[in-house]
Amino acid sequence: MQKKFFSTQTLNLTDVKSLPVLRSVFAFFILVIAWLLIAELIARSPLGSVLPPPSVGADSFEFDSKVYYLEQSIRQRGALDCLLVGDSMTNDGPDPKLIEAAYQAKTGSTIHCFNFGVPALMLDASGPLATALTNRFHPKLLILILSSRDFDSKFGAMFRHVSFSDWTNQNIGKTSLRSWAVNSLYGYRYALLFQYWLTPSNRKDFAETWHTITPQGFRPLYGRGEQHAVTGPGPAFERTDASAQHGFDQLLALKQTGVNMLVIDAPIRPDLYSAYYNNHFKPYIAYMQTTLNERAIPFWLTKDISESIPAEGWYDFQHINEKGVSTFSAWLGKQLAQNYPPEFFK
Amino acid sequence: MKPIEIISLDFLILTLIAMAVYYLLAPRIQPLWLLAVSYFFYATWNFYYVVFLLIFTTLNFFLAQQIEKTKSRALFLLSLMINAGSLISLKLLAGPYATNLLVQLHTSTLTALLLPIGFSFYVLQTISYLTDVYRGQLNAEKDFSHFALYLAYFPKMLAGPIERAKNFLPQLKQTRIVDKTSIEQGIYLIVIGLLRKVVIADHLSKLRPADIFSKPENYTSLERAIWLLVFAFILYNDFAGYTSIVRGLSCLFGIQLSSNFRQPFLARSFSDFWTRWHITLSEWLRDYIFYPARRWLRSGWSALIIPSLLTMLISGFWHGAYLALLLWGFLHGVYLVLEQLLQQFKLLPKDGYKARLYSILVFIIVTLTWIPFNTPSVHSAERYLVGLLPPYSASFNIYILPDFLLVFFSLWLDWQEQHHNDLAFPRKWSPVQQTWGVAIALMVLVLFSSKGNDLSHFVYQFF
Repeated sequence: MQKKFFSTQTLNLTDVKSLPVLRSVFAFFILVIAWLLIAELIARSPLGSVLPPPSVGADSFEFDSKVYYLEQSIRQRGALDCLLVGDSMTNDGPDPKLIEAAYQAKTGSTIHCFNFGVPALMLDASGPLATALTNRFHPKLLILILSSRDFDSKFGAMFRHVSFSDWTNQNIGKTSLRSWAVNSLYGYRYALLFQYWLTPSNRKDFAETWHTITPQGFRPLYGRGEQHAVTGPGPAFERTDASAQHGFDQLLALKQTGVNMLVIDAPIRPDLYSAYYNNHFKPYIAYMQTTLNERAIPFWLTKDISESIPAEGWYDFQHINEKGVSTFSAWLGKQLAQNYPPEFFK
Repeated sequence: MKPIEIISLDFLILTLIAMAVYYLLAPRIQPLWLLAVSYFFYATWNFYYVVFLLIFTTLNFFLAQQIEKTKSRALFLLSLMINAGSLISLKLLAGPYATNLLVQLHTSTLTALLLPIGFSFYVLQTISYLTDVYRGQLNAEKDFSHFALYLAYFPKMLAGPIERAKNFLPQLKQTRIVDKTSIEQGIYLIVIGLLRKVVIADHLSKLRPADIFSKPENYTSLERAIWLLVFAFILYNDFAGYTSIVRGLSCLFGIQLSSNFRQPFLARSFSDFWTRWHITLSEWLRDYIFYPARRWLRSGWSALIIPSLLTMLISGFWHGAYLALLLWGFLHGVYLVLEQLLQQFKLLPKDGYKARLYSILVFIIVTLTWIPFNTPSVHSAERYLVGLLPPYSASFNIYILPDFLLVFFSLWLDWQEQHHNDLAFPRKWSPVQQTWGVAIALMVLVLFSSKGNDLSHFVYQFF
């Protein structure tokens, strides 16, 4: 007996099955399922619009909020008519509420617009993001507000990740368990939000983002501290950035899939317009007009509207404040009314 | 190889493998297996730690044999000098006053040999073992693997509990049974330990400003007061959580380890506090410093004052060779002396509201005394304390106020432990409460298991 090397006498599992703690594993799964169900029911009910936006785990509260508000907006108002995508000039430029009002004033019909501008969203990132958004939400018109700077990916380093996040990946066909969960389970998204909340430095940023972005995705720039120093435009327009070009090609490819697209040149403050024109505008406009024309995508210039935005309507050389927003949004609403009659959105 | 931390996936895998093999081995082989696992675990921290531990174990194994055989006081004193001397040297080398020396001697091997992790714990176990053998209270261990495992047992290797040989070694001689009771106790201790460590201590310590104790002048009076209070709960839950986890784990090997904490913030007096806080260290100090000192001094004022002061000064030194830690120990020594005086003059309240008020006073003073425990110098401690006095300044980051509910959660855990007189208290609940209580605890642990990245930057500053 003493020579025995193996033995099973240590582990005595008699009556272990009766331990309540072992049933806790099942209870845990019941709790998880209950949590998922409750979160799904609440987020999809009218109560969902007053809840804080849950996270899609893309390391951006702004992105989280826009995804959630867009989902809520479609749930409450039905199919999406126009979706605005672009960088900060989109994010804090056109206010969908004012666009819709201008459109209604002109046509008597209502449309449903949403602003999905993301700060520093250069073309390398806007390609996959716009693809994901159109695949998921099927807008009748995709409006891209672009500038020559979007062809330089280096401006977008801080926010590029949102376009390559699990949420985006799932909607462009790159599926994983996590990407499915952030797209399909509000309970999982609220768990992610809680984990971001556990990092205390995030809390102020989250609260500010939650309370600043409107239910239609517009995030006004005004009221957010000191005005930026006005700087001139950067280097001349070049198409040497392969990833930006790839992103632009992705956007153009959307047209082939039947997505109605409209490209708008982002407004520029008039007193910098001449410098901008000399350095950037000519080759950029020429390239855009040729390329978009070939694919029958309308391209709207904004030189006139830029000049009609009063000097005090600018935040900096490319971003507009509340005065600029109302002028630009009203102009955009009227232009849409003229070019896209209510029948287009039926 | 990267060091295996107690709370990590690697440790879970190591433990599961260790457990699976352990359950298949004959009881007499099991200690050898646990020793192999323990040395492997220790080697992941540094291979030289194992070499040092092996030499240390071998030396003390034979010293104990000789002490038992010869009953030689000189040999016993020599063994004490070797062990206590190496602990003192280690503490001095690890303290701030030997920085230059270490920089001059710096090589990874030498540093590893000089500063093996866990040494402070296993050297105290060795001293108690040798003393007990010398006093004839314990037979010297004849089985080298058992003695080696006593020092190296992996659940307690890094930070205790500081086990006594007379509690630990007999468990290796007998057939260990892991049954319904030990599985239940083990699981509950692990779950409670994880709640204390991951949810309370780790989370609160991430909220705490990193420099509040080193640069207290940067913080308001209110911030200092709140963070001092919260620090007490961080320290307690971190260590109590760790101990609970390793004790629970050990239950699953059929080996009972001693408890280290018993609701210390509910202590009724300073002496009561030391029967509830880091119990295995306190008992070690009591049995091998305090009692011998008091016996030696016999009676009079010196017997009242010196043993307490000496014991607590040694406790401070054991925590680190810093003046601030010595001050912490000295202050606790003074409190114990004053309390004994109160007791002698029958002024110490025993029950009623006065006893409760005294209990609160003890908590406040113990909390204030954490200042020198956590500041890098006496000067910083002084600056911290001065900032708690008028004129008061009161700004505070309100965004973190909800997190302080975790302090109440800690107190609730203490209350449950005390109410049920059991550190694995859920086993005293009804079966339904046990099932759902643990399920909720698992949910909380999952939610707290990872934290989102810091996204706190002003969006528009990156244009």
